[in-house]
Amino acid sequence: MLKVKNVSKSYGEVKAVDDVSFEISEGEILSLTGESGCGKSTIMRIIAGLEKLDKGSIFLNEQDISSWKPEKRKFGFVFQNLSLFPHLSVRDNVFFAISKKDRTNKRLSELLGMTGMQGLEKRYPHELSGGQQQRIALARALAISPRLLLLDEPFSSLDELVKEKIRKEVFDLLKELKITTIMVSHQVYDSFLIADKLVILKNGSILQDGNPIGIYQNPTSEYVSNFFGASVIIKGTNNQQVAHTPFGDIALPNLPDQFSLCIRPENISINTADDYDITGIVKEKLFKGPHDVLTVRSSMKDEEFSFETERCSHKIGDPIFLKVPKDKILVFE
Amino acid sequence: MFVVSNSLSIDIESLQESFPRLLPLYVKNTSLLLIGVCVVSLTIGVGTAWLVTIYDFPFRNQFEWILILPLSIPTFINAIAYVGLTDYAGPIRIILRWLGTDLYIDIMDHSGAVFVMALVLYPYVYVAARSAFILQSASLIEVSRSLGQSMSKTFVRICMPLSWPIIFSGLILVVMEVLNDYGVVHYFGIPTFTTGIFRAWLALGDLQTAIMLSLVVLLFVLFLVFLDSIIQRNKKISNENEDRILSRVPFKLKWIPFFICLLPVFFGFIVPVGQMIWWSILASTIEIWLQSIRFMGNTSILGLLSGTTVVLLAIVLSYSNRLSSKRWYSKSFPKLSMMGYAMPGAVVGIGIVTCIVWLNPDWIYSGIIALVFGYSARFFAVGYGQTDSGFEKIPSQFDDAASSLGKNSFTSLIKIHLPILKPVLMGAFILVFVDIAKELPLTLILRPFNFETLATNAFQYAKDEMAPRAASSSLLIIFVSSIPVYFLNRIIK
Repeated sequence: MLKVKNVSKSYGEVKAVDDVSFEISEGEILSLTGESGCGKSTIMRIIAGLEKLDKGSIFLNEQDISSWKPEKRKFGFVFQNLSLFPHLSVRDNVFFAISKKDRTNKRLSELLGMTGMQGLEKRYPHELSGGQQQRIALARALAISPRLLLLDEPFSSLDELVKEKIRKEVFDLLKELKITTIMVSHQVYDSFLIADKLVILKNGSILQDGNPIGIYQNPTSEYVSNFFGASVIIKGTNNQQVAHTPFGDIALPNLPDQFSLCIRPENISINTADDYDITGIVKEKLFKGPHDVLTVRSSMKDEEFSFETERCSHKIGDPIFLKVPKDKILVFE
Repeated sequence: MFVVSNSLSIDIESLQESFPRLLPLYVKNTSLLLIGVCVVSLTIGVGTAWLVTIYDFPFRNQFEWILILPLSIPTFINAIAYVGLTDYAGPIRIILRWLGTDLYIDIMDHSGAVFVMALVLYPYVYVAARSAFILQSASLIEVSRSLGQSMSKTFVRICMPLSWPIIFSGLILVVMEVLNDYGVVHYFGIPTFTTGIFRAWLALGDLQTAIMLSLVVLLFVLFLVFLDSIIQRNKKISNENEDRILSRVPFKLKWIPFFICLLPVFFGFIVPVGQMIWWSILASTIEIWLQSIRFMGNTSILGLLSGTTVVLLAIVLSYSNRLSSKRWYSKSFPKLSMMGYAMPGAVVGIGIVTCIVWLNPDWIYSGIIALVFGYSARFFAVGYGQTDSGFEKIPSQFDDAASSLGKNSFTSLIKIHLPILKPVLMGAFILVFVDIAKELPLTLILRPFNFETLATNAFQYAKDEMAPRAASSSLLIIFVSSIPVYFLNRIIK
């Protein structure tokens, strides 16, 4: 449906987007993610036509739309700050882009019904709560029956309590309406909830893309692995295909010269003294609600690592025995 | 206040003869000029501001401030220049004769007055519109475009409704300038309220008619200020702390916006300045330049005295405002001081004349104190606005820190606030100075006999059909007035 092909964009010396290509099929939801400044918002703006690309092309159903003006593309765009028109009522905001003959009460209640906003037609944006503004911004974008919906960090302006609720509502609605959507989010867990495809960016280039769960399970770089947070990353040295680590020596196939090992916290389990892979002393224990974060000093080498675990009874200074299945250890160059 | 209180004691009988006859004429002419200048200024000001803010084209950066330059030319000097350009000995007629035709061009009518005034007053609208467009959240424009609205539709449906309150404030300044104008209308022979006030007082010595005419203008100005406060209340500009600025839209035919922006600068600055330079080459002798420099001295003395008075008063009031906890005081004072700026020079002049006549008629025209007082009253708002916003930007923790270190309010003013505010105070002083250099009607009413400023000198020559001799004084005024363009551009950035 939409194909982004070898797109590049620079601002002076700074390369904001560097040779980025991906595609999205009809009805799919794609999530662009990465640290701030990675170029994800610029790509969105290029797709919307708000930013001119330097190189590459954007295809919509095999037609090159790179030179189309934003108004011709008709992609519904929900901005980070929502950008409701402050001088227009809810009704006029939603009907902003609809021709006069289509501005029927039926269409209005259909759009407001979809977003759960009936009865607020006459209100002005400043009279709405953050969550309500969010819903109206979405209703306004949906009103034009967009070919593609673009959501730029759509939940970042909401406070934590409202965010969860609205996020679920929006995702349910997108799934129900089967609207092709590209979403920018720095919260990678949004992608697990909704996205069919995930594109991870760094310094304007794609590091990895594909199915979100697939990427979680098989990250191709330390950065991507780390992006999902809370992984234990340890550096090691290669000694004839045996990794010297603070955990001790681990024999691993295909070890490069310089490498780091990554272990997801869910793959580390606390075990007993008669069956363990690593042992050490608890140096620090942080209470984090349903979890604890333990810092362990390895007994093999004088090095420390931290990981998140379920609540445990260990105290600072206690010996600890950990089990790490070797096949769950990820190796990166 | 003197105008209002004296108007109450006027004998209505004595007015009946001339007042009903003149009033409709003044209303008609003043309205025609107001409507004309507003329409043209709005078109040029908003149009160029929109191009410069939204689009990308060659020299766009330079146009941001070049478009303000015409503001440095007083309306009556622009009028002198254009009359010179189009009269028999002017370059346009010379070229036409050279081409074998001699077309009589008369710009000394209503449309001509609208043209010469709008060309130098549009920057008020331009500055306001540009700052309104900059303030506007860029994503409002982008969201409108992504919803399928063209740039022109976005302008009409989003940008204009949101920017209107700010643009209206700029337009009010244009209205005030047109009401204040005496030079153009007198030179062109168009009877308006201002020429009426002058004729009544300076030619006929009829203070009562002058007061009644001033009262009408005063009521109109009050109405405008009231209207503005209503419009400002509905202001809905939302910036939402967005630091991203709009990425400018490339214009397909990129030289079109360039030429559109060049036109007002060409006709509003390059042409009149060119004409003045040409005249100064033709007619200016060393004597005329020496004379102009002497008048520059007079203008500078007035500017220095009044500028210093305004800045000192502004410091005292802004600082006591800062220290005072009484809210009504800090809110109502700026509005009151704005009235002085809003009032046409002729009205302020008549007010001061009535005041002096009431005190002691012998004091009239006896010195420049009345002028300094008049300038300070009329331009106080300019200095006060700058100074007060400067004070507001200094965090109150500075005061707390100073007092916790044992300094009293006066010492902290001298040691902390004033050194920090030095550039702001300089800016305020320069703005007041320039306004004084350009001022004509108030100076004509209140100046002592044989006391000339650059503005009165240029005007006098033009009135006496010796326009080329006005060139040196005019150029000096334009030179001095170009200075605040730098400040203005910095403020809106």
